[in-house]
Amino acid sequence: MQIAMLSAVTCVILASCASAPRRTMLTIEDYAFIADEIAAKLQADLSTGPLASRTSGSPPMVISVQKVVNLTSDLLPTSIRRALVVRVKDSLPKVLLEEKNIQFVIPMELVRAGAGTREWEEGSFTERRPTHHMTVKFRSVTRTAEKQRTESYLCDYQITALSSGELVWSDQVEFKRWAEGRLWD
Amino acid sequence: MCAVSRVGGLCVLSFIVGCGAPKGDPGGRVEVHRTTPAERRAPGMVVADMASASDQIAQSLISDLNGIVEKQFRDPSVRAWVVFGAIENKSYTMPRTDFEYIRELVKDKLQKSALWRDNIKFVAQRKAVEQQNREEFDEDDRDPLQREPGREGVERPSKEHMYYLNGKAYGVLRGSTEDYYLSFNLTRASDGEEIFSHSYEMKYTKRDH
Repeated sequence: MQIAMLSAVTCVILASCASAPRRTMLTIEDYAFIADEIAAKLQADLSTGPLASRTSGSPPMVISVQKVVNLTSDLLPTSIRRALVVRVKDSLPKVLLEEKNIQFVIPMELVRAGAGTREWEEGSFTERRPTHHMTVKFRSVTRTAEKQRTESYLCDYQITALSSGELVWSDQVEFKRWAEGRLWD
Repeated sequence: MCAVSRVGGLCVLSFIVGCGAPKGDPGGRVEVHRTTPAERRAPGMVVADMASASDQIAQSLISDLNGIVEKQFRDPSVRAWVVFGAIENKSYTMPRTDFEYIRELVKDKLQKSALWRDNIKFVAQRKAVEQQNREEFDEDDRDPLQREPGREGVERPSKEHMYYLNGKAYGVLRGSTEDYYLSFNLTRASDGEEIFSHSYEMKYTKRDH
């Protein structure tokens, strides 16, 4: 009975104290911020940056997007790890991609997942020939001192050639989150 | 009944106590160059200095690049390949991932330079590329003789034209004082000669020590 009472009291204290989160975890706004920033940078690089020299006559760049590699201490669900890449891909204007002879193809991971559930008919995607991978690495630096915590996040997007591993494009978004106090204070 | 009313009473009491002014600060998202209280007190380099170190290393490499290409490259007409090499971490307070973070920042700054891109290409490590290819083309399951033309293996140049970007980090701790020394270098894959090196040093006095 005493344990039950204690548990109830603890729960109420925790619930009543949940006025504002004191943690440095990524928020939904952060994910949107990262994807929007990178999409804008990639679009700019296709127009005036390292990829601007590509034309409709350039060798095709067939990109298979990979889900985010999470090297932070945060838990990133698969949905977010996929959304962070797909959102960038979807933001690119089709006309610009055609002008640069860039195509996106279904990732192998989805091909395999669909094959297991019989979503694809036999013989599908046999002509699929990706030449590049778009990968994303999420890193963080953590500093904690008593009740203070800071997490600096670095989200690095890159496109690499599958034949050689050459980095043909990369860009990053970097920001910090900080908080002070305990979760239950 | 008595126990239930006791629980109820305690809940009301704890709710009142718990609803007092919240302690601490929820913080939020801030610029990388703003140093936070945790960074001022916790062991390890401040993130703004990590960014500053990466700036200096990248700028130094780009400003020396013409000379490096002319004097060090075996054939200046061949674009050299740079691969991420080893990181030796003897900082004692910072994990290796912190230095990988710095190296990623350096890579991005170099990649933004047209001079760098004209002379050098960054490439992923061979094992990583082979893994990507295995995942894409199921090459594990295929007889090597039956593989598609052009997919025989990962393209790599002669070791004469290949360099490793290596990093070293040393820390000296004395009481509340921390001193960090970072050094990044480009080492030729054929003979191990260091063709470029840049170092960065920073000293801190932290309150918690």
